[in-house]
Amino acid sequence: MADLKIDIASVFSGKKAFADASKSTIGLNNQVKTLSKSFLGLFTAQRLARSQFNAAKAFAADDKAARVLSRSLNNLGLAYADPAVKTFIADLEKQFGVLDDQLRPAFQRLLTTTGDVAKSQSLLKTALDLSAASGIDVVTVAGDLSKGYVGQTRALAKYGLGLTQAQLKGMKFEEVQAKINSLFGGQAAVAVDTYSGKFNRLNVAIANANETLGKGFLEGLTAIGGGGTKGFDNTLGFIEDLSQAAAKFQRNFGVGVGQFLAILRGDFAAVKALGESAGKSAPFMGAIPSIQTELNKKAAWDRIDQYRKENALQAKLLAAKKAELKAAKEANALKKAGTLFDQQQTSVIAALKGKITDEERVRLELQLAILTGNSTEASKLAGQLAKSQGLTADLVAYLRDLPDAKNPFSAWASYLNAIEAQVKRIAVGGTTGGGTAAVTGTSMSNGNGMFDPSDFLPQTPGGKLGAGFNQPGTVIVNVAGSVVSEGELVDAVRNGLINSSLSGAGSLVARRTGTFATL
Amino acid sequence: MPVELKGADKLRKALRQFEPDLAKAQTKEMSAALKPITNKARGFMPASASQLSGWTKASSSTETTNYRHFPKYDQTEAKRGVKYSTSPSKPNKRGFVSLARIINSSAGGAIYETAGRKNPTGQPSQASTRGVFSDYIDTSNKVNKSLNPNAGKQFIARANSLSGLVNARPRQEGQVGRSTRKMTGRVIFKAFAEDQGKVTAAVIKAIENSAGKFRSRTDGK
Repeated sequence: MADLKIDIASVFSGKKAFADASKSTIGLNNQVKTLSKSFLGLFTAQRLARSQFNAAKAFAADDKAARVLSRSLNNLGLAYADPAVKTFIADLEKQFGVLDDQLRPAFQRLLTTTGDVAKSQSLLKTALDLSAASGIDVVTVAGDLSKGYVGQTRALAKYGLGLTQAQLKGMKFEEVQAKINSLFGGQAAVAVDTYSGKFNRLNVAIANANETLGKGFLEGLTAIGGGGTKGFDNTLGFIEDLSQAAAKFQRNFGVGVGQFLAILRGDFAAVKALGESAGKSAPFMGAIPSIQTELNKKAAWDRIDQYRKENALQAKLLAAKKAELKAAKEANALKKAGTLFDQQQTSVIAALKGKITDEERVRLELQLAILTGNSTEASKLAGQLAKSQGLTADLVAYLRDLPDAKNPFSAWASYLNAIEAQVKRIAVGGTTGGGTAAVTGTSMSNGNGMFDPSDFLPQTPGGKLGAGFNQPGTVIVNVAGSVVSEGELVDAVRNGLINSSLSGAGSLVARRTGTFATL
Repeated sequence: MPVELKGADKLRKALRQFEPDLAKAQTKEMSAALKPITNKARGFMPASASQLSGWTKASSSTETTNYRHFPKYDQTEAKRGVKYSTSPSKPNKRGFVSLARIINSSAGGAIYETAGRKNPTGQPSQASTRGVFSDYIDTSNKVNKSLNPNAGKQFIARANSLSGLVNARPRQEGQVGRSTRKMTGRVIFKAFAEDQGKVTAAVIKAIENSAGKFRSRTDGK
């Protein structure tokens, strides 16, 4: 929000700020200039030192390559040719503008393959031509030629010789070399006259100058050490002494400054302590400080790496334990889930849910405990079951010793036999005459029956059935009217029942006797 | 434009360092000049009841929202926000330091002060800035986001009914440069316009008095 205000009076104060900014800018500019000058000087000195070092390094590398080649010649019994080879390499370098840093390794490869100086020189010239034509460095070309010399012509196919692999394999190497010379001969000499070749020759000259300078630098260092074979070692010792002296000077200078400051503070105890600590400082032994610092750094990094490795190992172990624990958990879970589908256990569990006795329950629980491998519960339940079985055995023994109970229906047999005899006796009596039935036999009311059979007989106007009913003998049935057939009898009975049921006559029920009577 | 006094800041520093009593006297004299116009400006703040009712009711959800609500108007707070200051301010981007000023600092009072100054009929509605079938929604503060397309117009109309906008520094005939509406308002600018420059003269006179006294004292020493 814009300020809502009315400025009554104001003062311009920006000039001072601008002046301050201007002063600051000028000061900064001057400081930058000074810094740039300092940096330029330092940079120049550094560049010179680096240049000297690089020159010495180049000379050392060249010297090493020359010595390696000389050693190879010596090993091949061609030591006599060493000066000639050096001259040959130097001439090739000048002629074709190829650095001896490349010519020496190339020649060495050819020499170790052929074992012949003249052949190697010939092949090196061929390699130079082929290199100039193909653009591939001479060391690689020499390596391919040396392979081809021993029969491995596969690498030569890439130079476009116009020969198939089969042709290359079928040809002698001399023929292949002749083919190469016919195709690419003189390429190196032509390349030298090009601008690129001239530039290469310039590079060679610079490199040689660099090596010369490096040689001079190292010789100078040797001269500082007194020259001779031990001159360079003396120089190195001098440098080491110098660095130690510089380190000592720095240490003593620091102690001196510290003591001076302590004196200014009036802290003489600190002055004494500093002096004593400087005196007790361990004499320098071993590597020079800069190297020692590097060694210390290396040792520290090694320790850090060791810690990292140990930590990584511990992490791996921890991860493995976790994985193992997880697998065990999963296995338990699977086992638990598997029990859900175990038919045997399922049936036991289902049975346990039903209505069962205590003993059956114990048996089922014992079975389940055995199935699930719960040994504690199984032993406990087994004990209970054994106890229960013991009680059952006691019960069986008790029941066995009990006397036989009397049969409450034993009297029924004699009773039924009596009834049977009575019925037989009635049946044996037969039928005599007309109108009266005489039944002979023992009355059921003689004390054997439980009730008086006469109660069930139809009442007659004179009382019960005639006296003849109770008398044993023949049963006489008197039939009035005619005898009809069975069908007519059935019809007659049926009609009678129908008439009776439709007659509307009332009936009486004797509840005591359970009889019916028609009104 | 305020009156530029060359060396006034140095004079103030010198007074505070060498003649503190003169510095106090200068502040007192400047305050005496600024107080009447400040009180007058406070009197231009209308009663809360006279504003649109929706602008004066406190929103119940201010504590639960994470954005700043449109400031409410409260006469007491708005009056309290109108004040003066005689302490030098920090330099603005052009390097000027204010020595004496009148301020309207409350949000509600500032809205009443300047409502309609830029858009006399209110900001254009959000719907008017896009085509009929466009889904573009202008979320800038250049449009009226109310569902009522005439909200701004009605708000300004109510403010204008209470007091019109007054330009404290109208463009004079033959005046060079662009005209500005920065000195237009209903409260402090109105009071400043009605003051007709007397407060400016009084402040300058106070500074000159203290300068004269300081000069006489230093000459005498």
